[in-house]
Amino acid sequence: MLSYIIRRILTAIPLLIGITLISFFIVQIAPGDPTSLLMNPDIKPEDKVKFIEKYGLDDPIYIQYFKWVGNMVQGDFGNSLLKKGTPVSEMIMNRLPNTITLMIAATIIAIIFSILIGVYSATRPYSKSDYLFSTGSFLGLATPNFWLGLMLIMFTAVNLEWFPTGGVADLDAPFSIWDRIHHLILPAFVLASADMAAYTRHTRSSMIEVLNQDYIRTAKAKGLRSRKVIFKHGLRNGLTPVVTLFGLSLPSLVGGAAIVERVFAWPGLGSLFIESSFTRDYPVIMALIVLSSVFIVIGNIVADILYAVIDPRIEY
Amino acid sequence: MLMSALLEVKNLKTHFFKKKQVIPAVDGMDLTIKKGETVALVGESGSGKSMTSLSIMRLVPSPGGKIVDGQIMYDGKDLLTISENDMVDIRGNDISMIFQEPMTSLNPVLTIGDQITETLIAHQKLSQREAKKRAVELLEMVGFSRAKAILNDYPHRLSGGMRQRVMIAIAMSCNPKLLIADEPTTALDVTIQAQILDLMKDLSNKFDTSILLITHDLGVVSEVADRVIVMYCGQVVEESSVNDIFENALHPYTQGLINSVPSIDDDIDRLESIEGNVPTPDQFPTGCRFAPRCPKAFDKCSLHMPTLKKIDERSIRCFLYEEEQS
Ligand SMILES: Nc1ncnc2c1ncn2[C@@H]1O[C@H](COP(=O)(O)OP(=O)(O)O)[C@@H](O)[C@H]1O
Ligand code: SF4
Ligand SMILES: [Mg+2]
Repeated sequence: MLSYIIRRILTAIPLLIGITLISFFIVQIAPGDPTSLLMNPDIKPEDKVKFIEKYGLDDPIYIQYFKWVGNMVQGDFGNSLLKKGTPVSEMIMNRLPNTITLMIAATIIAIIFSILIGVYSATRPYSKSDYLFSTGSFLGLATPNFWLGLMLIMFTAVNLEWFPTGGVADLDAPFSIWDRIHHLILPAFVLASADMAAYTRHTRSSMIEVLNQDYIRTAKAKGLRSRKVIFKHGLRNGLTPVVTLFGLSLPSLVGGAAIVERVFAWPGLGSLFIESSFTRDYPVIMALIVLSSVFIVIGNIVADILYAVIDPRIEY
Repeated sequence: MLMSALLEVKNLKTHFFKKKQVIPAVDGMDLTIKKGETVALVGESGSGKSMTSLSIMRLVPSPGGKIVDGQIMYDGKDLLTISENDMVDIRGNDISMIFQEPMTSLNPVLTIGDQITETLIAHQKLSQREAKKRAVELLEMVGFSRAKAILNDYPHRLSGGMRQRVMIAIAMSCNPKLLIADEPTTALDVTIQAQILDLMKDLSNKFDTSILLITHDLGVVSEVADRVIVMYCGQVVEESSVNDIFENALHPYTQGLINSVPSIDDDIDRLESIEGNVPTPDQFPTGCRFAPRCPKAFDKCSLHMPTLKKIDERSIRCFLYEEEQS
């Protein structure tokens, strides 16, 4: 098992190198350069040269790349071109907890609801409630996050005032867990919605298949109660395809977080990414692309390991 | 030798409902199993043997299948009218079952130990520890020498024969009164088949467990069964002791079955087999269901259905023997 994990991590290294290369060069060929945005067009030419030297913008491209990667490995993502040159790592650390909270909450919501609904539907396929949930999850799949977010803000936050319209906490109130959760519910639910729909569909179809297997009949013939048959004998087999789906859906979780954070004024990495894109703050953009890629790669390794843990037939 | 009935199935009807079509898979089945006795239920594939046994367990595939009529008397109760909760207490405890497909009948993601102990914990209220100890004994009883090590193994590490032994260990774990074995050796190698049958026979003698052995292989029957019930198209066509069946089969269908059993001195070409196929339940003939394939059929056969008549210790469903009686 340990050697499987190590092997899995080693094979991810070339992938990560590729990711740094691609994100570096995409930013290089993007139109506009930071000097044009940052500087007063009337700036003295010698000041411009100083700026370029300070940030190494005149080095050959591959030198710039190696410098960047080398620093990054040591945890130095460079400094923002704006905001008085704040270190990028500091900006990220300020926002990271908010994004992690949002993603974990969304994932938990998606998993719990999809398992409950998926199993419920699978035990009574083609019933009225199954059709109802099926329709619901197709709607969930088809609805864009930003639209769902805006609608929920309009109805449940603005009109009904059940939830705040955005942010992580009330600015003028002291810290309270309940206040945090209250702010978290809407954005987490919106971020969860698309994945929840996909997980539900998969849980349902895989549970329908599993519940028809011979070993389920054996479990019933042993005199186990139906809850035990479904959750102990059925769900563990039914979850394997869903775990794979979890690994595959991480990119959409990261992308979805950017939009949801924007809609709900959630000060996380996603909204940082969008802000930085508007201002062409390259060090921040590049750091975020690399970070999210690393996150997705790690997530997939975790999904593979989980898969192997659930299914003993998989040889490492 | 007077033995009391352990299980009595009367006029059992298990039908499937597909798109307004009614499929009478089991259609008026009668069956009695006495204490300690091994009864063989034989018949070609598709005659309703599995559905009969699943009906006794109340595990007919649903939606689709349904028990529409009949009684299954066990221990003074009709199993078809008791609550699902009471039925759960009977399954695996009083009546247990093993299946044809040892490769798929065990859960691939749970250890052998877990799959044995959960039955003991559910029915005998044993603690985890006691159940584990008992599981080791059970595995030794069905012939594992490294029983302790097997506990932590997963099913995919065992061969088909070993898995069937595990299934038997699970089925026997609560000392059931009745073991239903649905073609337990069909999927196994010939040498393994004999071992598994011996094991079942041994255990049933030791624990006084009755066996309902379902098979389409008459060779198996002669070795282990006391009594034989021949099934065709969802009904009993003949029932008698094992000796009578092999020495003097009465029903033309049974005769056909016996003539098609290969024996060592027979050569394959001379093997007779029954012409035609078992009709599917939606195409049962109106008269005797065997009439289209019966070499002895006469006019009456395709018009009326013969009833099951008792002759001495045997029962038979055929017009050839009805005249004699009246
Ligand atoms: N799930 C099902 N849906 C519809 N018909 C079925 C189903 N299972 C069995 N049957 C019908 O019941 C008949 C008897 O099946 P079965 O009891 O499995 O026969 P056997 O075990 O004797 O080979 C089959 O011929 C088939 O037509
Ligand atoms: S009743 Fe007629 S058709 Fe049926 S088995 Fe007897 S002889 Fe054959
Ligand atoms: Mg069968």
